Amino acid sequence: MPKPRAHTPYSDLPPQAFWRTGVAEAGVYGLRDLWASSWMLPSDARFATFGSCFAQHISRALKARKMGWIDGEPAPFGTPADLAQKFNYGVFSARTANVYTAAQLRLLLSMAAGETPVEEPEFWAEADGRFRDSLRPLIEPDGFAAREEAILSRQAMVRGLRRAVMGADVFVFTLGLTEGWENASGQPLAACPGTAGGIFDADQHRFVNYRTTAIRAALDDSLALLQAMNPNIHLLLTVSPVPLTATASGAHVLVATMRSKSVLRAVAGEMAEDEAAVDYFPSYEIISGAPARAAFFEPNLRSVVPQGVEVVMGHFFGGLTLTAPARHGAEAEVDAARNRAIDDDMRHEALVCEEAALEAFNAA
Amino acid sequence: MQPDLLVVGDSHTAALHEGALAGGLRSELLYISGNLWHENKMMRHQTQGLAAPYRPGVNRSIAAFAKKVGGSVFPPETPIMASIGFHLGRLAPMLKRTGHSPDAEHVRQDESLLFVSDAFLTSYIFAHRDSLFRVLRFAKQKADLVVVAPPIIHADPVTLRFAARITAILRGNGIQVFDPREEEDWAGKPLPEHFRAPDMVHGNAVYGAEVLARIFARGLIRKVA
Repeated sequence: MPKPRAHTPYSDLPPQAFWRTGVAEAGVYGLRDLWASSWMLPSDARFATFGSCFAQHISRALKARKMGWIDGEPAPFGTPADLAQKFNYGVFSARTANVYTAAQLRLLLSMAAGETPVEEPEFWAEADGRFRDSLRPLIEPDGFAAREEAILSRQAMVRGLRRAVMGADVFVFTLGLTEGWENASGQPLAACPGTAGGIFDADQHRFVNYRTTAIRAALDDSLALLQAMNPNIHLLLTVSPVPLTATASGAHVLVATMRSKSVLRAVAGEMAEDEAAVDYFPSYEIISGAPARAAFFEPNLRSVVPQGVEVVMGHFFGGLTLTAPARHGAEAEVDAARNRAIDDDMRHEALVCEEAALEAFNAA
Repeated sequence: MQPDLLVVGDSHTAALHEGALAGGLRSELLYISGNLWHENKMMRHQTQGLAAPYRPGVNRSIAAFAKKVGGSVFPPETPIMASIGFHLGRLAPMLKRTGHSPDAEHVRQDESLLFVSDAFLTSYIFAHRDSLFRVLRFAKQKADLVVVAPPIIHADPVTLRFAARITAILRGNGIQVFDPREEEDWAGKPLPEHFRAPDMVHGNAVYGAEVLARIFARGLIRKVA
């Protein structure tokens, strides 16, 4: 007679707690219960999305499903899609461009909260007389005509970011890199000067490979800034599975990539464990984990294929709990009323114009 | 009999045409609704000058007008005043609808506004007006043409910026423009009351006559007897 097994903490665990049943036998398309949000969000929950380039997929998926994606700085009404794309509208919930590091997120939120003057982070004067924003050097295809114009555009982005934060139930931030560049005063830059605008100066610009404590501090500050603007906001962290294009760390780019992603993953996970208002969504694991066998990467082993994004977003939407009462109906009605008023004005003007022209034919 | 002047464009043609008639000129008017110009589908046409092939009714009006004035809407022998390319009452509200402004002072004063750069504004204008600019470039090559920018009675910063940028674009294409906002005695303030039509959107015949006098005085088109 077989001896009964002793009861252990593993005895009652579900199948997904074991690699064989949870992963090896399930396969990448059979993964279950990877993520379940602990937040009970309103049925009309609004999401703001920012971060590295992988975050764009989250924006797109939310828009495609008409899932309450907030656009704090939308393209002007009547902007053709190709023009909106050229000027980077509709990619994130404001025209921040890619935000790769937690330090950069903190700086952006600090401006949105009014703690850092909008004009303080540096602008780059280009040889052709135009200007670029050190926080988003490629936001306009040809940069800005003047520093003043660049400031006003950044101010619009900051207003849009604040609007997105204040209107969001969930602020989704995709962490992209630990590696970055700062100027002499410690301001994070969106890119190494000289690569996407600006001029590299070894005395003024320094490479940083942020460590866990610095990233955690930046994220803690970011959460505090978010909550100062919107006490009910939730922060959903993800880690981009997209490898580094290049590393300035001195390590092999594969090693540098794994270091970067591992650090980000660890910080995000710990912060989610520590803070009720923070959660971690495992897009990184789905794309980069062993079950996918790198099948979700393009042949360059870097870009993520649409099928991978689809799997990620399936888990994302499947893990949300949108059962609390709707709470954004009044805001939608205010928007609709404003648009109706503008449409009425335009119709009235059109009528006036037709009448003016007809009067020209009045012989009396 | 050959007309002295052709007036072609949207509802702002009324004042110009009436002003010309009041001055004793034989003026002929081709009016097409601003809504149709705003569609940005009007095309140049080698013989009749202008065409709206997608709108047969409008196209018939254009063809009839062309026939009446000598074969083309833009004949070489007759000066033309055109109210084409602006149509600000359709353009500016679109930008304002989403709370955008291209005017620095405007966005500084109103924290709800979102600034758009001059590069964006220019691209936006081209997206909505490029077919009209092509028509005007064609007309300029064929005829003695001046484009007359509309008067703005209820001045708002967004509309003013659109107007100024379109004027600059047209001039950059070598097209003569009379822009009332650049007139020393009219600049920076609402159009004087005696020039306004009752609808408070357009100029009146007195305004049209004054515009015509200034255009002739400046030689923007050749003066007709």
